[in-house]
Amino acid sequence: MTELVVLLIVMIIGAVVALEIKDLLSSVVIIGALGLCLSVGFVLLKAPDLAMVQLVVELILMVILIRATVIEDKHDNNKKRENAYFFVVISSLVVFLSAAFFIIRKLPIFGKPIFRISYAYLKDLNINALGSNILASLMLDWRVFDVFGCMIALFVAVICVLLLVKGKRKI
Amino acid sequence: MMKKNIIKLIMSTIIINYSIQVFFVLSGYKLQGDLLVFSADNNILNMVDPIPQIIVLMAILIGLAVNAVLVTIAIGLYQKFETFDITKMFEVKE
Amino acid sequence: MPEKKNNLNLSYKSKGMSLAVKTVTRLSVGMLLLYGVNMTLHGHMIPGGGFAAGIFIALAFLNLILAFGKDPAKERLNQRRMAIIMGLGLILFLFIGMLGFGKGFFFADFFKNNTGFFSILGGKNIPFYNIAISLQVSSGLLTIFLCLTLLKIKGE
Repeated sequence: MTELVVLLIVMIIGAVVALEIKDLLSSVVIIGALGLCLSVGFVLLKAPDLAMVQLVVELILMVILIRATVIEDKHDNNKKRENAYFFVVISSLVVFLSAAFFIIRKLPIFGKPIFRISYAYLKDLNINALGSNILASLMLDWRVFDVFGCMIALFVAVICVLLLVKGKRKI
Repeated sequence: MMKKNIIKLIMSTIIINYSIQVFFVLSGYKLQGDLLVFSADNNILNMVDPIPQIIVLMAILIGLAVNAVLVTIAIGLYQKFETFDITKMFEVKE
Repeated sequence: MPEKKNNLNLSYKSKGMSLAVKTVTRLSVGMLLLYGVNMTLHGHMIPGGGFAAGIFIALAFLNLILAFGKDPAKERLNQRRMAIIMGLGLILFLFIGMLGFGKGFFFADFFKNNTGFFSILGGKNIPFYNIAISLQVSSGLLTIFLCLTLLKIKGE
């Protein structure tokens, strides 16, 4: 478990550095490194499917972000807002942390999940008529409505991008 | 979230997305649990909890699509106002 | 005799990155594409599944666009064609769900506990779902990426 803790600490430090560094391009690169750390963390948490998806999504996200960052901005990039916004951020942070303090105490101990919902499904699985990948067979048999909603969300996002671009210039 | 640059704001949403994904997968982890792949020496009831992994698998993809839409909006705003600064965007030009 | 038009303009002299990048891309794109198709068809056996396979296929074409510049991509990948493929994937997914009405309800598993020829599919209709998902995801991501690359920005 020590390697997981080290990885999470590296990710927290990287997140702070990525938001505070001055150069935009280097902060995009640090975001990419964060995604790769997350993918290694998924492997340590025994979720190989997630690691594979996260690795590739990270590449595409970095290309899209670099596309936006190559534009030279004439103004100074790294200014902060006025002090009034500071109090808003601090107060919302206090509310969030105090809510998290009460919620985390109710959670089960790390390493022992409740496992009640999927237990009912896994108990009467017919193992002979099942593919080896249990995640896919659960996802596309039992939670298939969720997948359908995910695909519709992706479709709507693509249509949004098409509309936003097509107003400017025809491809 | 206190920055003026709009690209930094998009990055902060990406970081929030990552942290929520890690939290979900951590909540479903079981110590000495098995992988979610069926084989002869795997006990099917001693596995990692699959439900958070299913949810996170969809959340990653939707996050990518939403971030692409945000970047497109940012580029569109740049084309109109010629700046990434959100406080200078809606000022009246003299 | 009219000169034959070279549809796939992937020569070394076209615009884009340097010669080494182009050579490596031409060697590796086929393998990436093959890996994506393999992951789609074996999605019920190996870790991966439809989502990862779709992103891999999108990444293969994205690699081509990055290495060889905008012009071959503009010729080959029409935006209208991509939108048609994307809608096809979604409709295919819905159609497979509709077929479940034969067994009783929406999204019912019509191959469940089959022991005939179709037991090679793992006894479920997961491979069909995987094909639909990979079609939709790959074409959707490619459409987003094409829109962002072909968009011209004032500041550049």
